[in-house]
Amino acid sequence: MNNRLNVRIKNILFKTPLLTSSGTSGSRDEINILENRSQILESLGAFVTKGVSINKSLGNAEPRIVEVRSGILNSIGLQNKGVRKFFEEDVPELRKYKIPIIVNISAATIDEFGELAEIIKDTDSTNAISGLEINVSCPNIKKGGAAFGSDPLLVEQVVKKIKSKVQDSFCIITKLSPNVTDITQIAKAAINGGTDALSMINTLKGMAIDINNMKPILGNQTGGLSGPCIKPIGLYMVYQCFRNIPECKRKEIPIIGIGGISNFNDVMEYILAGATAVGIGTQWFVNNKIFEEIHNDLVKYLTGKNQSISNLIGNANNEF
Amino acid sequence: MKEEIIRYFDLIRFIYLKSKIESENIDKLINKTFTILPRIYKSEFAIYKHDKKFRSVINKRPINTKAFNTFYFNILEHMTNRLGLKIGNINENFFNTKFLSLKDRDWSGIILDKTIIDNCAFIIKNKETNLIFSFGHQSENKLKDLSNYIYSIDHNRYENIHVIIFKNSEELDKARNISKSHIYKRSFFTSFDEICSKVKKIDRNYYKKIFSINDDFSRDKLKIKNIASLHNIIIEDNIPVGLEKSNFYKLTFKSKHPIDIFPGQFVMIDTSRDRIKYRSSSYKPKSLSSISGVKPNIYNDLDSKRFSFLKRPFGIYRTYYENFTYDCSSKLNLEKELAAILYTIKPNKFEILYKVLETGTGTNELTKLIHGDKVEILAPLGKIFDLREILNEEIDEIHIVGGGVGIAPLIYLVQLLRFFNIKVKAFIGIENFDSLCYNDAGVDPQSFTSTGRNAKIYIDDLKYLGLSETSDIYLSLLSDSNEATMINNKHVFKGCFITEPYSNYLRKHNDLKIITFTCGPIPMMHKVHNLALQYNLKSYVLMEKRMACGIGVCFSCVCPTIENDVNHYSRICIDGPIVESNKINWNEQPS
Repeated sequence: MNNRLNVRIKNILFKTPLLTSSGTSGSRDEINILENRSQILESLGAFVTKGVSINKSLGNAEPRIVEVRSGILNSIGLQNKGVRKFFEEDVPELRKYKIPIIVNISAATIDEFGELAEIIKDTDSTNAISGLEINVSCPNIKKGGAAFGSDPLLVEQVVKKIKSKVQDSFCIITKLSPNVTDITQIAKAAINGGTDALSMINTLKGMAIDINNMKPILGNQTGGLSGPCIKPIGLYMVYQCFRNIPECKRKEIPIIGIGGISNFNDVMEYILAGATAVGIGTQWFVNNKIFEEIHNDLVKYLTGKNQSISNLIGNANNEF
Repeated sequence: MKEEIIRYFDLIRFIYLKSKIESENIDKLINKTFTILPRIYKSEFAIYKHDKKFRSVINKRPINTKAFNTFYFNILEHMTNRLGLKIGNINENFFNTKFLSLKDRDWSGIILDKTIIDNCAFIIKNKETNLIFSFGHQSENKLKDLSNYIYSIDHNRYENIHVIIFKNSEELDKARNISKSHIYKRSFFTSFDEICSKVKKIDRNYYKKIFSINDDFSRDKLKIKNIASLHNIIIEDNIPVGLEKSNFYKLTFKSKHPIDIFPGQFVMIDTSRDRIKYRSSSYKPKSLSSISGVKPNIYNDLDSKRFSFLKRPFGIYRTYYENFTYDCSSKLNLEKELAAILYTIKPNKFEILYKVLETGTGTNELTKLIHGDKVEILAPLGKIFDLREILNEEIDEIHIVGGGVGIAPLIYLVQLLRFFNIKVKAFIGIENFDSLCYNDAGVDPQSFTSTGRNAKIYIDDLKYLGLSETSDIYLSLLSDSNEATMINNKHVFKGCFITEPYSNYLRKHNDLKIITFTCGPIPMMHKVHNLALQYNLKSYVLMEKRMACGIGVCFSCVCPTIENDVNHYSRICIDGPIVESNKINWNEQPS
């Protein structure tokens, strides 16, 4: 293990700052199909699952994906089998990854969020789960979804509710939406609610239209934009939160930077902007070796500079 | 007497050790031996069973290869007898002759090369083909010599083929690698477990007599692992198919490492311009018209406007195997039970057919590839649909029903079905004859003419694979064409969908046991599904959907399905692309 890469978020030790992003790496054993599965797992600090809800969710009508310049629009709609089946069928497989597991959770009401967190706490008898990532920002669910993510009061209440149910059993991470006027307001609300960490950003709302049949391409009309095209936005939002929120600046509330990361350079930018760890998603579809490539490049970079990730977090904010 | 018993013990020990079924537990092995002992030895063996000296003697005995060979040879012979095949030329160097089940074999009238007779273990005659067997635990040099010799005298007639029996699936799998292609020049491979599991299927009672039925030797059968890797492929050829304004292309590529891909499975091709290694420094290849004499794709001018980002999924149209010719399946003509236990080297050269759409960024990028360009692909992907399983079912015919570019992956399916010698009927619907034509220079030199573009995709393939143009191929054309002479007029249908003649065929042959595979436009597949319901056929569709990841993590490529009366969105990339048609929720498919 290379200690230069170790980072800590609350009580979880990540052996590298590289995480999967929710919704882009499955929720079970899907990556086992890849020949480089062990390299991927060795490069990861934690595995973040696809969103889980209380009940089974069918997801949105197809088409669910459309390619745009330097990115994709998706409207999957949180297709999942429900939390009980998730524990029954998927968690035993996830345990075999032998890295910390963070479960992304989503719900339509505050009470539902509370109930879901409680179920997970009660069901996780084997302590397979290290953290919960609260999806207050998925733009695809008509009820709740984006409405939560853009209302500071609701975000605070959701986090408070979940925190009251699970106490310190799990590290609570709140995943923020970029579809807001001022992300620091939402971040502060999540911190007031008691979140242990923040992750940002989720996808940006967008759409594409077929000029032949003159209709939106996605089955759900609109979708979430991800990919390299959103990186400057995600980077800026991490920078903003780190700079303007004292708890972030003091590194009491770590930030997981997500959005458009496609190489080692992007990762370092996020770290220097204030992220403690990063999530990589869309680009993994394009380059299945992205985790090990970035991992190797990070080691080279840090060894060359005789530095460690934890020393470099937020350094782009330092006064000149 | 003791010697006799020890021989039986050797067999059992050998079987169990090589199958890695359990570690060498002497008690278990002794008990197994006891069950297969002829009755006359049983009482005596019961005494020895607990004798310490006996136990230590048998425990230290070296593995008796001849006993092993003999044991399995007897099983194989039982199978070939049932199939009515001649087996002979037993080379006594390989066997424990005392244990050979038959002494006299009918082996008259077969004249074989002396080199072969001297070096092989035995020979099976299947119609015109001599299957010349060796054991995989012989020295590699000897196997190489024989394999190369057989290859050199056969001249792609497939009248003499080399078959190597390996001890277990692990060794069988190793032999299938391309790096071994110079040793096992054009050998076919099988293992003792393949033989055992086949015998178990065709004669359960016999199997029961030899093994206790709980001994599942079929579990050591070769299981192809579903592992996808990134491969760097080299483009061999990328040519338009169809006359004038062609929107279809045929892409041929070679991979350094073989890709064990099954029909229905697919590859994800990285079409993004910054990752393709173009042979020339600029990405713009020489104009396509100079390669083919055909007007380049009308949408090529899009290239400055759009870039592709994700990989693109494509089904396989044809595969090629080192030292094998494409028509191998039709020439072999083996009994399907025999073909079912044979494996070849893994394929390393592949073809896809793709249609370029106006909005198709990825396919537009693909058209720019030329010979020598390097591209990355992720493969193989998709659920494995093992055709060897179908061989255990009673079927008269397998039908492929395809429309347009959807016919392409069905051709690869036929390629394998024909290897297993299954009767195939093809029902294909296309726009017009012109769309099938291409210049096959380099593909088959014999049919190449300097002026003509006289190859026809699909039709030529099916003919190569042994389907008769007059009785096995049904063709429908949407638009009228004058050139309807290329196929017997009886089976060419103009101005209708292929489902019409297919429906007529099924009505006339409703007594046959049929399995149908269909791929093409949704309405066509839906119609085929309805016909399958009507005539009570098992039917499968090869589904195509928009994809992002190809490995089941993104949930983009979903298809509405119904399982146990509950609606689902199934991921085509891992639950398909081959799906039973009755699982599809046809009412929810996009039009």
